[in-house]
Amino acid sequence: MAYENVIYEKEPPIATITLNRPQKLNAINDLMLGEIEEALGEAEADGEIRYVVIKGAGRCFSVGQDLSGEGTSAIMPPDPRLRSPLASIFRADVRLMERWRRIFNYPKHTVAQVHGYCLAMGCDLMMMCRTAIAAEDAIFGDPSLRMGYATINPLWTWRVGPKRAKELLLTTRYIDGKEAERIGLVNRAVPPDRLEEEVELAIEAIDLSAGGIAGADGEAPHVTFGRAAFDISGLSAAWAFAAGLHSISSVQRRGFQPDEFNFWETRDSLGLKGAIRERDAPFDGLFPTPAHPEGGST
Amino acid sequence: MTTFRQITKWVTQYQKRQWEFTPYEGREYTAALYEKQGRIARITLNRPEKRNAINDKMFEDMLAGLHQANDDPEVRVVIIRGAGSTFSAGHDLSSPIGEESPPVHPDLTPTVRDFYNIERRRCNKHEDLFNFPKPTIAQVHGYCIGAGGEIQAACDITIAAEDAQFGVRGFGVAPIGVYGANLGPWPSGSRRMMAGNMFPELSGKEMEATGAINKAVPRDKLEEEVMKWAEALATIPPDALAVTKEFVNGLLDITGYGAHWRAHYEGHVSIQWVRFRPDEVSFYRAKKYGGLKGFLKDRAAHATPKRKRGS
Repeated sequence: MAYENVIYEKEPPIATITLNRPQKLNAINDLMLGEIEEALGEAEADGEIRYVVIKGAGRCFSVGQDLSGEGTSAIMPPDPRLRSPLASIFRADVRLMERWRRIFNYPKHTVAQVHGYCLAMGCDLMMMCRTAIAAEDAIFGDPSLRMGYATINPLWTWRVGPKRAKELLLTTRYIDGKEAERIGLVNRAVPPDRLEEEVELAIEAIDLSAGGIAGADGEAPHVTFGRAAFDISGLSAAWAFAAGLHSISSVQRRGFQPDEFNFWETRDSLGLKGAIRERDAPFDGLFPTPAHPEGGST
Repeated sequence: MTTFRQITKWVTQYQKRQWEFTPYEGREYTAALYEKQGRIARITLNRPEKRNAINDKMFEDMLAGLHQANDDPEVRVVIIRGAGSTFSAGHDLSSPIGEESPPVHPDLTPTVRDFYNIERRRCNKHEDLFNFPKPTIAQVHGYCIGAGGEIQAACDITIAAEDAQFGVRGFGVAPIGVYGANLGPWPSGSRRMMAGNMFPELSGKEMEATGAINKAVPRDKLEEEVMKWAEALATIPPDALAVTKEFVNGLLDITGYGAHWRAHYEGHVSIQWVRFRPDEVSFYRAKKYGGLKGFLKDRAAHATPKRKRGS
């Protein structure tokens, strides 16, 4: 099957999904998320595949959702100036949440291979994977709140606990791969030039130890042992809760306080890059973004 | 103009938080101070001669400060810190009979219902701080013990001096290390956090490693670091921030956090019936015969030997 925004390759037992909009730092739009799902479906149906690696082409994993406002009606709330009714925003959030939930509950072993930026929805995608291996200089964070959006991802408290979740979500601080490993956001941080090799080694190790459990018959033990723990501790209820709160954060954008940063107005006057620069400027002085290994910025 | 407050008279007392009952107009802040610096409000625990041990007046002043910060539309962030050498040494064990901040004195022979009411009120103070609608930062230096640790844990963010000392000291009425609603399994699931009385204390640096606090910095950099975080929180759109705080707290409730607050005060009620063997240190017995100092001496004699640093 031909994909536009991702590359799908297989080398049994591993399939690789490469996010492929390098000129846009792999910003996720409707088409890309749809193609990720299709590629996951293809790998799921393929009896030879037991592992799916998700990675990014070019300079980074993904900077998050595409904020250009084009081709993102399924993954982004509508422009607040349109004053869309809460019901339609809420329904869209519930649908989106169902999609993330399916990726989280994907029956084969997903591995995120992270380099460069892994922000916002990119970070969500990484967190939905069963295993995440990152370059030490990868950059993690969720700047959504800077433009008034709550996160949609309920996994934060499970992955990093309450204090860290609040730190990353409320202050919108960015952290590097080493710190992400320390706080439990990723399984391992490795030297950047060894990233690919370490992912292969990790899969080999999982394959050796898990044997058949990781394989085609792995769904049942995985769901009972791995995912049930999340649901027993409440994750199954958290998805709906997250959709509800995200729709509140989207709909409240109808009104802005006078001193509040208005992303949409700024995007109209300065363009996307200018708006993002404006959005990040007050925070760069407080918590400098870790240097991107290849320079440049989001 | 009709304010929201004027049209919400239907709110029942049960729905109200304790800080909403604590008036701040005309208040003389003494045991805790309130000040405002632009978008940032500061509540300073202020009994330095008692190492900011918490008595009823301190709680009242702190809650009034929260009330005032909530009502002031300019305030975006609240910082809680301690005056003098220490954040807080915990409940004031020298409080007179009848104060509610320290555990109920057995001489009052309260009923179980009395206990439940008192303990609920005590725990709800922390829970209300946890659910305060604006973001909170604890700025911790020196000792942060017992109930001081609860205040710190209920804040959204905790920044501490590297040499701050966190912990719980059993004081006879609590021979098991009730480590507090917040410091249990949630921050990191760490066994170290569950150690309770086994380790007299953890340093700021060690707490950072467990994930129970956000950051430890050298003491002389503490204020500067806290202001940086406060500035970031003040820059975030406040309504969106409130939703996200609600989001994280709600996720914790889904995992059982709310039930854990209840379990915490149930635990407090149950320990009132602990009976002490002759060779155990009972706070009230020791205090009766030797005063507070006598108790502290007695406890030191019975305490687990202090762990050597780095061993």
